[in-house]
Amino acid sequence: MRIKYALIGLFFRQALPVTLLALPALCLFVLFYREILDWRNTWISIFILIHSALLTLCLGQFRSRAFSFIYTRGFSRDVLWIHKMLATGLSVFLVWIPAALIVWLPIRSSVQDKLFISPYFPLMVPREASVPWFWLFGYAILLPLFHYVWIRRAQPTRGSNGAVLLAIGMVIAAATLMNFRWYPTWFLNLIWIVSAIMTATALIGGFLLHRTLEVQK
Amino acid sequence: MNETAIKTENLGRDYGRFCALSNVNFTLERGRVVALLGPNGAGKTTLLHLLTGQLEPTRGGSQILGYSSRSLPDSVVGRVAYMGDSEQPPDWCTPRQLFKLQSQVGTFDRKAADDFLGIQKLNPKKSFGTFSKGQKKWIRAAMVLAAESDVIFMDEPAEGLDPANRIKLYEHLRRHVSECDSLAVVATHIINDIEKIADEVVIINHGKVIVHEDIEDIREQVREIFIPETESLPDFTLSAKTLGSKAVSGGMLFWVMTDTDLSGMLPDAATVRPVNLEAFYLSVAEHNHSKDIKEFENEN
Repeated sequence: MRIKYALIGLFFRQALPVTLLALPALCLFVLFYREILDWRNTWISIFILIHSALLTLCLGQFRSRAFSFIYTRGFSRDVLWIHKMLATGLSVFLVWIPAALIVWLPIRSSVQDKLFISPYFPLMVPREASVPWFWLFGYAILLPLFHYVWIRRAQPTRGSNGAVLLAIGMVIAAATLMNFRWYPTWFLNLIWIVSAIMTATALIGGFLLHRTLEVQK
Repeated sequence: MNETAIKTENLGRDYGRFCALSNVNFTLERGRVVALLGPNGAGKTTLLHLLTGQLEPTRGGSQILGYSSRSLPDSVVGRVAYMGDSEQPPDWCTPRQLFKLQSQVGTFDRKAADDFLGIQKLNPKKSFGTFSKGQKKWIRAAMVLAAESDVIFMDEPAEGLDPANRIKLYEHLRRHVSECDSLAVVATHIINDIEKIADEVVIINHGKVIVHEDIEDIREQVREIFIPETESLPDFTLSAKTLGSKAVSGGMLFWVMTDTDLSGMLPDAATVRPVNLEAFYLSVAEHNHSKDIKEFENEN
C-alpha cells in the first residue's frame, strides 16, 4: 500500500485546531514549569489526557458531513484507518517533538537556570531526559483506546457504552497507579505488559471494527 | 454485454421501530442509467447509503460487482463513485486538492475534471466553501465524472443547478455511462431532466419498491387520457388498468395501460397521448386515484 499524503492531509486538517492549541500549551509549560519534571507530573498527565481525547474527538466524527465525504471517496476502510492513525501520529509528534527538544537540548535548563536562577539546573538535565518518553507512552496508551471508543460508537449494533466505561476505567486506574511513589520491579513490568496488551487489543479491535462502522445516521 | 452491477435481495433497514426500507429486490446492469424516484422520505437516500455500504442493512443484503456492499475489496471499492446529498468536503478544501485526493483512489482524469470546472468557469484554487450551492454540486460531479467508475451513485446531483447546467451534467453522465459501460443510479426529484437520459426507473414509496421498469416499456404500455370537465367519466376510470388520475385545470387526467379496451368509452372531447415519466411517477406514487375521482364527481 502506498502512502496517500492527500488523505493524511485531509485527516490532519481535522485535528489541526487541537494541534495548534496543544503545541504552544505543552511547550510553554515545559519551558516555564519551575519544579523538576518527572514522569508522574499531574499537569502534563491531564494535558495528555485532554489532548488525546480532543484529538480522537476530532478524528472520530464519522457521521459528520466531512467524514461521510472522506469515507465515500473510494478508499477502503483499512486504508482509511491506517491513514487516520498516521494523521494522529503526525498531530502528536508535532506537539511532542518540540516539547521533548526543549527538555533535551536543553533549552528548558537554560531558561530555568538563567531566567529563574533555579538551583536544580543544569544538574537535573540527565534526570529529566527520560521524561518525554513517558509522555509518548501516555499517548500510546490513550490514543488507541479513545479511537476504539469512537469506532465502537459508530457501529450499527448497540452496546457502545461498554467502550466508554472501559476508557474511563483505564484512566482512573492509571491515575490511581500514578499516585503511588514506589512499586516493586515485578509490578512495573506487569504494568508494561498489561499496557502493551491493552494497546494492541485497542488497535486490532479498532482496525477490525473500523471495517463495519456506519458513516450515516 | 449486460453484466450485473448491482443485485439486492430482501434489502431492508429499520431505525428502531420505523421501517425505512423493506424487501428491496432488483438487479441493475452495466451500461444503464437508472432514475431512482420517490416522494420525500420514501427511502431513496437510505437505499443509496445501503448500496454504498455506509449503512448496515437490518435485513437482506446487496452486492456491487459481485461483492457485498459492506465489504468491498480494495480492487472494487475504488470503482464505485458516490455523490451524496448529505456529505460535503470540508470548506477549506480547494477543487484542486479534491481532485488530487480523488486521483489517489483509482483512474482519475484530472484534465477532464478541470475541463468540467471550466464549463462553469470555476477557479480550482478557490476554497470549496466560497462556491455557491450549485457550483459545489458541479465540483462534486466533476470528481465523479472524471473518475473511471464502474458504478456511480448520485443523490440529487442537479439540485441547485440552473436548467442549462442540469442538461450538461446529465449529458456528461450519459456519455460516461456509455463510454465506460458503467451503471449510474440517480436519485432525483427533477424528473423531466433525468427522463432524457435514463433507461429504467425505480420508484420507491413508503420504503418499498413499487415500480422497476424500462422507461421505453412504460411509454409503450401507458397512455395519458384527458377528459374535459364537461364530460362524464367513462367506465374504465376505476378499473385495475387505470394506474392513476389527477384533477387538472379544465378536466381530469388518467394514466391507463395501453391494453385496456377503450373502444366506445372515450368521449369525443377526450385526448389520448403517450405518458411522460413525471406523469407516470405522479400516477403511481403521489396520487390517491379513487379520492381524486370522488372529488371530480362531487365537483360535477
